Amino acid sequence: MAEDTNALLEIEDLRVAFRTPTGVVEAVRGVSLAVARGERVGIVGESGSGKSMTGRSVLGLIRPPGEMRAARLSFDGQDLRSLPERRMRRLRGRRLAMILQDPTYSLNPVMRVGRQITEAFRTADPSLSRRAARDRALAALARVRIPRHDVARVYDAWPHELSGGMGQRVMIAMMVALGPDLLIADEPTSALDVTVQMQVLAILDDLVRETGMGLMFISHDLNLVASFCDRVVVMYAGRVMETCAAADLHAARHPYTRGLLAALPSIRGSHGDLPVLARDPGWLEGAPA
Amino acid sequence: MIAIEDLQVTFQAGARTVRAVRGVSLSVAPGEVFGLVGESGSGKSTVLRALSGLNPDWTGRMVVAGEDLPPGRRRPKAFHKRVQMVFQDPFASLHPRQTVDIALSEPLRIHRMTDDMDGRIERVLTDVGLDRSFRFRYPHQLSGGQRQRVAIARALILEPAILLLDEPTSALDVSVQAEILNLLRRLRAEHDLTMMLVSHNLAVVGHMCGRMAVMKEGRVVEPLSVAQLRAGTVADPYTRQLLRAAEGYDRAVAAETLDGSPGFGGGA
Repeated sequence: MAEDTNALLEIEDLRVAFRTPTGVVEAVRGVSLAVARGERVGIVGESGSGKSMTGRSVLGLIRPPGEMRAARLSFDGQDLRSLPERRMRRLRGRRLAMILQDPTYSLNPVMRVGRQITEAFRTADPSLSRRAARDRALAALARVRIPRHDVARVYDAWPHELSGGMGQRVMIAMMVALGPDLLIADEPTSALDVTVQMQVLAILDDLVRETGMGLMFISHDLNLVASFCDRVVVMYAGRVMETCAAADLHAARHPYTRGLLAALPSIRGSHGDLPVLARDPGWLEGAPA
Repeated sequence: MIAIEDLQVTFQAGARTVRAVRGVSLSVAPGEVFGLVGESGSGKSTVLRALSGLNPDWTGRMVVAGEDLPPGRRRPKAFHKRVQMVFQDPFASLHPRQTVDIALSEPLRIHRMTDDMDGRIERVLTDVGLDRSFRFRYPHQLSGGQRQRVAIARALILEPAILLLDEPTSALDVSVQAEILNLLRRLRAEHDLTMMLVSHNLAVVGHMCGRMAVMKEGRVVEPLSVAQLRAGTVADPYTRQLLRAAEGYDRAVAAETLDGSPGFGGGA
């Protein structure tokens, strides 16, 4: 996959380590993956698997004491490893965007929603007039399927006046209106109720279909990733255990993936004890299945 | 074991009165595991908190083990020995500067169960699957699953008859969730416990409970047996929506939910 020339994002042998007083912690240990245009790639794993660090690496957000190395890290043909911070900053927001789990922490609590969106637009394009920025912001909000009669209200609202689902739509509206080629969504719906989660996913789904945006969807939820993404990368302890088509996840071959799937309670499953995942130390080092 | 009739709970949020629970009635038989399912703001946790005495402003009737609960927050000490609660976040529910030993011995002191404290602590640790080396550790030296085991041990050490569980596995990874759910099932059988389990996760409730109530906006929209849940024979459209959402993303279903969705409110 990493040799795929159509890939929008190519990662090869990515390593992230943190130097701590008690030793070096290796969060990501040789991850290779690729995301094509219009492709939804899910990265699943439990906490500590390195899935979020992989996403942050792409945006150049690993800060000291963290250190990142990769044999290859390229976005649309540009080598991100050697890009100066100034040019990286220009990419972030415009062509590479990220949304996080909880919109409450991503929105500035003391600035009205509309002002935050227009500010993002005018930073990306300083020639944009106030009025044009406002028009674009309203259009962006309408695009994430905020009902027409609510758009003006959301624009004038303070972040605390929004529900979690609406806050996440605002974040998506802001990121997506800048027209990124690649969106990295780190647990974008985990803080949301299931019905709202469906709505936010439908919006992301629309965007991928309509604009050909590539999506890296980071999640701990196997069922969700299997049903939403095109391809799934399963991570454990900083390494890729298995990559497969999302539709085939339930027929996964790696014992780790199978163990995770078996540990999930299900509505129609048996009422007996759930199979507990037995971790094989070999998964830490062995070659991916 | 537990009977709740027409429970109403209100909060004062500034000048606004929020009616979090609007007339909930349910009953739980001895030894049963009863589930409350719903989304955030549905009032499911508030029912549990009113029962345990954490939400004082309630009206209606609550009977536990044949005794009517007095209004307000005050509960006789014997009540707390009989009814214990486990919360969602084991990172927040354990004092960061107290060892497991202190967390477990404090309830014993409060309830004057000071005979054989060492034995009680060691037995309860074994019960929740932790060896004695955990006794003098601090919360930061434990994983999330181990912390939740300690929180369960703290509830169990008073030998309660009823365990109230508020999203006990929502903060845990799925492999750890499976361990904790198995532990709770084993403890229920071994200690003859009655449980009320609150969760937003239909699969968790379906796995653990025999009967459940689906809540929305402070009311029970539908009481369900696990057989109905498994067969998918649910009557209320909201329950059906939850059930479909639990099965993963479906573009057609998602498109339906997009139209006329509420924009404001929620959160609480």
